[in-house]
Amino acid sequence: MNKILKVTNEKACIGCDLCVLLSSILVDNKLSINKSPIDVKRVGKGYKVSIDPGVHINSDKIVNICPTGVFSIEQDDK
Amino acid sequence: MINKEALTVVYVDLERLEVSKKNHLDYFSYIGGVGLAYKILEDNFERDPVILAIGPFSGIYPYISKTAICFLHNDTVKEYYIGGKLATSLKFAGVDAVVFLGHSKQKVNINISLDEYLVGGEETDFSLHPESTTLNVGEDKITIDDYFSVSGNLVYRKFVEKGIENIHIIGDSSVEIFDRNGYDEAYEDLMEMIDKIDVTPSTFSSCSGCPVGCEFSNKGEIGTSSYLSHCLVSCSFADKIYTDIATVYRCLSVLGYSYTHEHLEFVEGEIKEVRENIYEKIADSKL
Repeated sequence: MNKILKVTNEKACIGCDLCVLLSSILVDNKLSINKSPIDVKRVGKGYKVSIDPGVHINSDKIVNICPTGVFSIEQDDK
Repeated sequence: MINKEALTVVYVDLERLEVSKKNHLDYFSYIGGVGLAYKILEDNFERDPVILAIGPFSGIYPYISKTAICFLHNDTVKEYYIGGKLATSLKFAGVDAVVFLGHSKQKVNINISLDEYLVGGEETDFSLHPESTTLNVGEDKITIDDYFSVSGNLVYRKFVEKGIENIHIIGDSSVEIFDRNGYDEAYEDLMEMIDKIDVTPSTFSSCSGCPVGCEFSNKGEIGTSSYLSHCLVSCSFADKIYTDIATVYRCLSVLGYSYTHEHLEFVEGEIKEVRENIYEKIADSKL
């Protein structure tokens, strides 16, 4: 089974964007915010974190860079 | 896209409601942030400029989370630093500084992206990009994305005086890294320096690029503690990291910048000279 990055603790997100920037350079070799496969949007007092389902990210680097443990690597159900 | 020879300045003329962009080779030695803002203030002194300025590390390295706001008030140069996502968005809009010249008679909105600039009042059709970062001039303060602000009401009053209602920044470009391995190593080393940050990590909303989430992120900063770190526009809690010339030089080099170690040592003197020139202009304007 493939492993994949998932958002498992969205409530903990503080909006630092480190995951947004790191994932863009991992996937595209360029830094970007609007073209990144991870999107973090401020919604009310919290954040909405989404991962582009069309992009397969399997990287502990994203898990490790998040200061509040928003992500984990899990089995890909698909 | 990083311009390694010039700094890009967007001029918003609030009287004529016109926007233009210029790449300044002549501003390159001021690096960015407060240094760049002072130089723009000196060169546009007669038009009461308000300047937003970022640095070469904005959106690229951690703890570089602020945007410098400079203007004149009661014959004094004022410097504020605001957090949130503004600096990161400006970087990816390909802009080092935005200058607001003169005053608008009506309330205006401004859109800035890589290739498109728009300024206008109610009659202007603004189709708002879903990924834009907004600086809003509200009832009694300015905010970035409804949370990040600066202390006091001087900045707010200045934006009201200018006639600005909202500034939308769309960071829709990408940045290529000159030396990817060198960048990755420098980035990891910076992340390991988190214990040098002079504030307790918490779970408050964080500025873009800062993993600390401190309780002060929405309060901004006033005044300049170190010229080098404020040219980079780091958070002042990260001064121990970004006042170290060897660290700054290494981080600039892997991005392909040609600033020398000596230049970083002496840039403070260059900036102080510009500051003195501004105060001379203030004195001359009184004659």
